[in-house]
Amino acid sequence: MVADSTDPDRRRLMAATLLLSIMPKSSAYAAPTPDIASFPDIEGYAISDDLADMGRSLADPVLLLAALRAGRWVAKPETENGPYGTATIQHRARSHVGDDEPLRTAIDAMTLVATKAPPAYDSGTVAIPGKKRQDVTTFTVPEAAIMRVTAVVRSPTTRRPALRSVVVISNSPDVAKSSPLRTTHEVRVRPRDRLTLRLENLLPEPLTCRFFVTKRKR
Amino acid sequence: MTATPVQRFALAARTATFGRTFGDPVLLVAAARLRRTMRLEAGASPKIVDAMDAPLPDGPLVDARPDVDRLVADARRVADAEKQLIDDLIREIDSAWPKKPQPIASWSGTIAPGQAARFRIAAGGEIAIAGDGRAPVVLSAMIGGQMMRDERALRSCAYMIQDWGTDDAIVDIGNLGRSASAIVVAWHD
Repeated sequence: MVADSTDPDRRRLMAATLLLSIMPKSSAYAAPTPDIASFPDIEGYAISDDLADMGRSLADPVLLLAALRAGRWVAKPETENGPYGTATIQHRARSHVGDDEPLRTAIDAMTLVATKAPPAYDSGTVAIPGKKRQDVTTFTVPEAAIMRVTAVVRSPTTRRPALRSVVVISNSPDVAKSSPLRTTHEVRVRPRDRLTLRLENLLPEPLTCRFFVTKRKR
Repeated sequence: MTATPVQRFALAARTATFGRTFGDPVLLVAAARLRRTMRLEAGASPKIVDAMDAPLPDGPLVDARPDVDRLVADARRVADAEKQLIDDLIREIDSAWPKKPQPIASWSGTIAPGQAARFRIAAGGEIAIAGDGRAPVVLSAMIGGQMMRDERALRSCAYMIQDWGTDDAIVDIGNLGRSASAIVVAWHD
């Protein structure tokens, strides 16, 4: 049987279907299963950092615990004692936890939480003087992979174009990009390639940048 | 403490997205704790316009709305072996700073596919959005003839500050998906 679009019942059904497709659904709506692999590592690092900053300023051990957890999920590539490192945040969290024993235990146990994230290879924080360009990391690649190299301006207040970056692999320049706050490159590498991230500060004032080198998840 | 209520709303939305994506109850409780520090009050309604085409942000489509009751329910559902800890943390949500929630202007509504909610934000103002994850929502701002986006935006949450000169920002929150999307917007001028 061929559907007749002039049939009143059919038209009512089509209208109802269209209406349902644009109306907000009830709270029974089941969200699709989130795709962990599509969550950007860099946003995971940024949320972890921001929770750590907020937790420090509020002296809030729960936010500091959350900062540790967030960092674990994305294998946040920080040195243990850096400003956003596990040891530093754990120390802060313990100092604010008071006599809350379950919370203290949870904070102490953070190193035991398994992570599903791929290994992070290198990271750091650099200050770049105004209108200057510098190589911020040079890194020897351990395996064939697609590497993701990201630099972020830490201050979220500026919306002005601030960064330009170039990734150099074994002395071959890759494509340059610029971005107000963030710049990311993905490059295919072979074992023992040398990878250099070169950043240029486009503003007259100094910038603080964080950079990360990770393997693409998929 | 330098973070404004709108910045805390934005961080609560991003943390909710992270927690729901990874099923981490501690992150969900932290999002609820941040959200408890502010009180959303109805602000001016936006103008509904056609959405402009824009690049889609990264990330999964997941509910970013930091509603405290739903965050607590989600945290309990995924707590598993950490049930005791999560129950303890939930009991302490109300002890979050500040003791009295700070008011911020807000709008909750639904944006149809291909449409945008348009707000005007004065110089120095800021705005944050959290969508329900049914469709990607994009925040784009026109300030002094230049188009701005949040570089950190995920598919259902974003934050912008108007720190350019003295012009008002025209902020469009566009639904670029195929389904209607419920969103919460918080801002201050």
